This record gives sequence, structure tokens and C-alpha cells, in this order.
Amino acid sequence: MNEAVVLGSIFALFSTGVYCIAVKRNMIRILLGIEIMLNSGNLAFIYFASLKSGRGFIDPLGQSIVIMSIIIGGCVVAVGLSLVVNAYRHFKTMDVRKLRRLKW
Amino acid sequence: MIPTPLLIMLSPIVVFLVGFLGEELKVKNLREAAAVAASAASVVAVYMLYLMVEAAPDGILVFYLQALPPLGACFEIDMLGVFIALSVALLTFFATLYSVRYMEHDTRLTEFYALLSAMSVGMIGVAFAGDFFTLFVFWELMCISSYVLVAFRKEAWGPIEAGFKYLVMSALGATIIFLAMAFLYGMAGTVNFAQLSNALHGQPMSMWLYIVFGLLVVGFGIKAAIVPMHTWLPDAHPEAPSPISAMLSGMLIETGLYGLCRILFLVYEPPAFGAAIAALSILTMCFANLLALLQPDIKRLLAYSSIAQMGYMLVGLSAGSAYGMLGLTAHIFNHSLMKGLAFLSSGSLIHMTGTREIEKMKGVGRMMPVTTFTMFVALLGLGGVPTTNGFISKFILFSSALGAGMWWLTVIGVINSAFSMAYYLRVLKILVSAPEEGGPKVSEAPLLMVIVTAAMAALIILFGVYPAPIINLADSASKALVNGLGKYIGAVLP
Amino acid sequence: MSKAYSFAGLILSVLLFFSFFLIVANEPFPANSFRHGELVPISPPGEVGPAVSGFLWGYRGFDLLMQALLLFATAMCCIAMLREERR
Repeated sequence: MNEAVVLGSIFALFSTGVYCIAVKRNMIRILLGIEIMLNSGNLAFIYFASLKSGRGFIDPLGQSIVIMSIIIGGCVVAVGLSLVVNAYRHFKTMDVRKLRRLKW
Repeated sequence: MIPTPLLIMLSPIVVFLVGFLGEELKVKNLREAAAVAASAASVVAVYMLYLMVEAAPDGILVFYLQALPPLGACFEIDMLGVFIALSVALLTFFATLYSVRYMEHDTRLTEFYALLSAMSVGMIGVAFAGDFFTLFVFWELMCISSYVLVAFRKEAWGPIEAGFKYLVMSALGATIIFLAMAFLYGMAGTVNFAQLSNALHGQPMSMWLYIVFGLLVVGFGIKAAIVPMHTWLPDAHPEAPSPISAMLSGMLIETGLYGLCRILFLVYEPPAFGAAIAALSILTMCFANLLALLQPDIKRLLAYSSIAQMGYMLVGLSAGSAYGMLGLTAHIFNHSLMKGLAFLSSGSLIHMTGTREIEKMKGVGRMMPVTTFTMFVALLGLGGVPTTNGFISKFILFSSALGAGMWWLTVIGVINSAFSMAYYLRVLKILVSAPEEGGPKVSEAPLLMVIVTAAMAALIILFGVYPAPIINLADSASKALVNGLGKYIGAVLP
Repeated sequence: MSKAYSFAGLILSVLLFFSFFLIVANEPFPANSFRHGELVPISPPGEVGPAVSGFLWGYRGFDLLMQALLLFATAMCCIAMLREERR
């Protein structure tokens, strides 16, 4: 029961992130979708770390990986936001559907 | 502990500091010299690591900082890692030398060279990683540097749009890899490659292993430009500056393919993934070759050609044998040289004529003979004409598919390869045709750019008529991956 | 019309703010008065910081150093994207 709830919430967070990237128009919301997906991976790591020993403490490897992955997520969003600033200067909008000048 | 050659991991910081000093003290060309010296040092360092790997027992080196590998982070360097790192270092050296002249009128050059060095350090780290999370950290280093290098010329709108779309898709891929890593950690209790392989190799395929396989193929496939996930590539390559396009197409997508190969051979067995990879490879080859015919822009045409070459490499992966992997690794090296040369020579053409459209370059070949000759060599190599190294690796790839019993894959591959000559020859025909009245009047490209492209063309022809060094190296690399699993595990677990 | 609405909203929120003080002044909050069992004494974990750092640097030191390089590269990226140079 517990396992189904946590795995269900991992998939729910993952699909929320995918929905944000696929459907949302504002560029910053798309970047937040990437953050949400990274958080689903973090939840998975913590949950599996707690399963591993079952003796009252949680595997420290899972926690350290999550600490470092939060930093990595922050770096990706920082670079993404600097690109969004430049895109606003050129296109004067935050709507990603206006960025259509490159044809196939 | 950490050996001396791995000090090249610090080269982005060194390049930035020396470049900053050069800008402040107004010393001309100091940062270019620092960047070229750093890339040359990385070639030498990777060569020294190659000698160390050859001399090591079992052909595997393990490096760690303080704690022992199964729990601590480590580098596990085998022959395949050295081969990929050697290709990366060589292409970085050529691209850095070329960009000294190509980017001389741009601003923010210190950051450019520092990020180029960081991207190459990231790729070398991915090749050497012995731990899934170490691979992820270097993967993100490589990706983050490449987002900004694609969007580098931010005064125009094209690079910014292409850079943003590339960022979203590539970060999506990295997050999917992270989720796959979490599931593997849940199943096996570890993220170390040797321990993962020990725990999961040879297990019967269950639903969760299929889910992880799907996540890995999608995650690495977004980076390796496998067809349903390739849509960032035709936008990102033309808008990036030419040396960055050469690095992206030459080694970044191959590093994605290397990650996929490494994990598939460690965790799964070849019969389990052969069919799915074969289907993806047919889709990739056919789709990319068809779309490349319609492109008016030379760099976009070369971008679609890169996707098609990824399809050929997937043929080698789907064969699942050491011979197929020999074709894949040899083609990684050859493709990095040929596609790198194609992008660099087209960069010379674009630099002098000022346009990216093929139709507007009519007759330029007669005014820029050396560059057109190198373009000739690169495109013929990509098409697989004998006496270039492209022929040898494509031959090995397609015959390995025959050896694995998938003759239809070979037939489709050969047809696609012949078909691709159509658009390569179209470029060459336009370049060497007679100049028009109102056409461009250009002279030959700057000397340094010509020297770099000529050196790469000479290497292509040399390895075409004397392929033995590359084939021997690729052979030991592929055997280390496919047959050397026991040694890989034994180097870390006693 | 919207000015009247915002003025009315301002008056309402000020009244709400003062009414809170009128209620709270009369009766204190009944903290812990309906609890059943004993308060379980759990000692605080002591030093968490050094333990986590010890694990991170001892077992994952290499990843931390490469993370520092990644942060440096991110700083480089933001400088490269946001710098304005007039030439």
C-alpha cells in the first residue's frame, strides 16, 4: 500500500513535469516543469534509500545523491533563465509559441 | 589516488584565469594561446592514460579519492573510455585551433574558450566514469556548457531560439536518465556500474526492467538524436558557431550513444535489446536521409546527415556482437573527423561568403580551392567512398548486421548510404560549377583555418588507406566492452 | 468604481486586523491541554552537519569536486549570456 502510494506519486510528479513542458506557453513555466521532473527523481531516490536497510536508518548514498542533484537542477534553471532574458530582449514576449521563426 | 593526467579536469579554470589576465593586461592573443595549449595538453594527457591502461593488469584502471569504489565515486577507465576520450581530445584541439581565427571578431571570448574547455572535460569525464552518478555530473557539465555555446551569438534571434529549444529537450533527457538511475538504484541498491552489472546482468526481463530500458533509450536517445527525439538537432546545429557545430555533431551526440552502449551492455544482454535498437535505427536512417534532400541551408543538411550517421551506428549496436561494436567505435572516431571537417570547411565557406544557403555559393569552389577540396574529402568520406576511412567503418557496420542474421538491416543501410550521396554530390556540384555574374567574389579563407581543415583531410585519407592503428584500437575497445565484462566487474569488486 | 472597491477592501482588512487582537486579548491559546499520553523525550540528533559532510567528502568527494567545477561552468554561462559589451 505504502509502496503503491509512493510509486504513484513519483509517476504523478513525472507526468506533471512532462505536461508542463509539453503544454504550457510561458517559458518560465517550462523551466519549472524540468524542476518538477527532477524532483520526481529525487523522491524516487529517497524512497528507495529508505527501503534498502529497513533497520531504522536511511541509506546515506541516496541522500547524498539527492543533495547534489538539487544543485544540478538549480544550475540548469539558472542557465535557462539567462536564455529566457535574452529571448525576451529579441522577441518581446515570453510565449514559446512565438519562437517559431526557425522552420523545419 | 588521482594520477597526474587527470589534472586536465582543471583546465577550464586555468583557461578562464589566463584569459582574464590577458584581457586585463591587454596582452594580445594570450587567451587563444592558453586555450590551444589546454586542448593540446588534454590530447597528451589522454595519450598518457592510454599508455597506462595498456600497461595495467586486465586493461582497466580504477581511480578514487578516499573511499573504496563500490560505495565511493570512482573513475573506471577501460579501453573504450580511452578511445572515446582520444576522439574528444583530438576534435577539441582542431576546433579550438580553428576558432582562434573564426571567432576573432566576437565578444566575450574568454568565456567562450573556458566553456569549450569545460565541454570537452565533461565529455572526457563521461567516457571515464565508473559510477552512474559521476557520469550524470559530467553529463550535466557537458550539457550546460553546450547550451550556452549554441546560443553564443546572442545578438541575433536565431541562436537564442535554437538554444532555448535545445535546452528544454536536453534537460528533459537528462532528467529521464536521472529517473532511470533512481530505478536501477532501487533494484540493485547501488549506482556503481560494476556492482549494477554484477546484480542485474543476466536476470530474466521483467516489466520494471523493460520500463528502465525504455527510459534509458529515450533519455540517451534525446542526446544521441535518435529519430523520434531528434527535433532539437536541425535547429541547434545551424545556429551555433561553426567550431561548436563541429564539436556538437562530432562528439556530443556520440557521447550520448556511448552512454547508451555502456549501460545496455552492462545491465542487459544483446538479444534483449537487439530488435528495438534495429527498429530505431531503420527509422533514424530513412527519416534523416529523406529530409536531408530538401534542405537549402548547408549546415542544416549536415545536421540531418549527422542524424543519419547515428542511424548507421545503431545498426552496429543492434548486432550485439564485438564485431558490431567494432564498427560502432571505429565509426565514432571516423565520423568525428569527417563531420568535424565538413562543419569546419563549411564554416570557412560561410565565413567568406557571408551566407549559409547552398544556392548562393555557386562557383565559390573555384575561388577557394583548398577549402573545397577538404569539403570534397569530408563529404565523400561521409558517403562511404573507398580510400576514405568512412568506407571501412561503414563496411564493418553493415557486415556485422549480416553476421547477426539481420540481412534486411544491411540492405536498408546500404540503400540509405547510397541515397545520401545524392545530397552530398549536390553540394559539391554547386560549389565547383561556373561562377554566376552577380555571385559572390571571395578569396581563400585565413591561413589557420585552411591549415586545420587540410590537416583533418589528410588524416581522413591517411586512415582510409592505412586504417590499421584505428581498427586495432577500436577492436580492443569493443572487446573490452562486449567480452571484458568479467574483468570490468573484477577490477572493482574483489 | 474600482477605487471604491479598493477603499472598502482596505477598511475591511484593517477591521479584521484589529478584531484579531480583540479576540486574542481575552483568552490564551489552549496549547497541549487536550493531549492524552506523555511527551516522548527524543534527544536532538546532535551534530548532523559534520556527519553529512563527513559522508559526502569521504565517499563522494570526487563528485563534490566535479560539482564545484559545474558551478564554475554555470557562472561562466551566466556571465557569457548576460554580459553587455559595446564594441
